[in-house]
Amino acid sequence: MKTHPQDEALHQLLQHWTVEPRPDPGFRAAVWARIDSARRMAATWSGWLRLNVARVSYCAAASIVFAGTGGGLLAASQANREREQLIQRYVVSIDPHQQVNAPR
Amino acid sequence: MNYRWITALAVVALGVLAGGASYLCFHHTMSMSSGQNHDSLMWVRHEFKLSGEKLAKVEALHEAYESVCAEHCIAIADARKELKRLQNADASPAEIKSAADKAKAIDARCIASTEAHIKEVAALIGGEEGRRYLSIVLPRVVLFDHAGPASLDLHPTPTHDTPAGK
Repeated sequence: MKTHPQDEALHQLLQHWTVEPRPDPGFRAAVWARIDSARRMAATWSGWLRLNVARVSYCAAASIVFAGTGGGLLAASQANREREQLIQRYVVSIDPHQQVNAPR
Repeated sequence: MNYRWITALAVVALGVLAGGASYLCFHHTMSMSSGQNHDSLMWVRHEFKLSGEKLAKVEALHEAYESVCAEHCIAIADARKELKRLQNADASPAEIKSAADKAKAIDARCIASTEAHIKEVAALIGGEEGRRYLSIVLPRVVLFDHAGPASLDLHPTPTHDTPAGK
C-alpha cells in the first residue's frame, strides 16, 4: 500500500503529540458532590419529606396560621352581620316608626 | 408526579382544612351566643345574658309594650293617611297644617314612648349592661329618619313578633 508523503508527516507529528490537561482543583469535590446528590434522591415521598422536613414544616405551619386566621375573621364578620340583623329586628319590634316605614 | 408538587397540594389541603375548622369553630360559637330562635327579644336575652326574674320582667315589659307599639303604629299611619288625603284633595292650608301638626304630635308622642320603654328596659337590665343596652338601642331609634316615606299598610309587619297574616 502506498502512503502519501503528507500522511507520513502527519504520522510523525502525531508520534510527538501529547495531551497535557491542566489540573482542575475542584474536580474531585465536584465528582463527590454528584455522588452525594444521587445518594440523597429519595425513593419515596416519606423519604423526600424526611429530607425536607424543615421547609415542609415551615410551609405547613404558615398555611395553617393564614388559613386559620382567615377562617376565623370570616366567621367573626358573618357573626357580626347576624348580630346586627338581630339588633335591627329587636329595634323594629319596639319602634312604631320603623314598623310603619318598614319596606314591604 | 414530582414530590414537590404532591407536598404543595398536601400543604394547600391542610390550609383548607384549618380554615374550614376555624370558620366552623368561631361561627358555631357566635351563632350559639346569638341564638337560633329568631324572636325579636332573642338578641336582648343573649347579648345581656338575662335569666331568671330579670328575664321574666324584661319579657313582660316587652310583651306589654307590643300592644302600645301596635297602637302607635296605627295612630302614625292614620295621621299620615289623613294628611295625604287632605293634600291630594287640595284642602285649605289651615286644614293641612292642622293635620301635619297632629301627625307631628303623634310622632313625638311615639318617639317619647319608645324612648321611655328603652330606658325602662335598660333600668331593668341594670348596671353597666343596662348602659350598654341603652348605647346600642337608643341611637338606632333617635337617629332613625322618622319623617321618611311612610307605608300606609296597617297589616302587622313581618318583623314584628306576631307574624303577618297570623
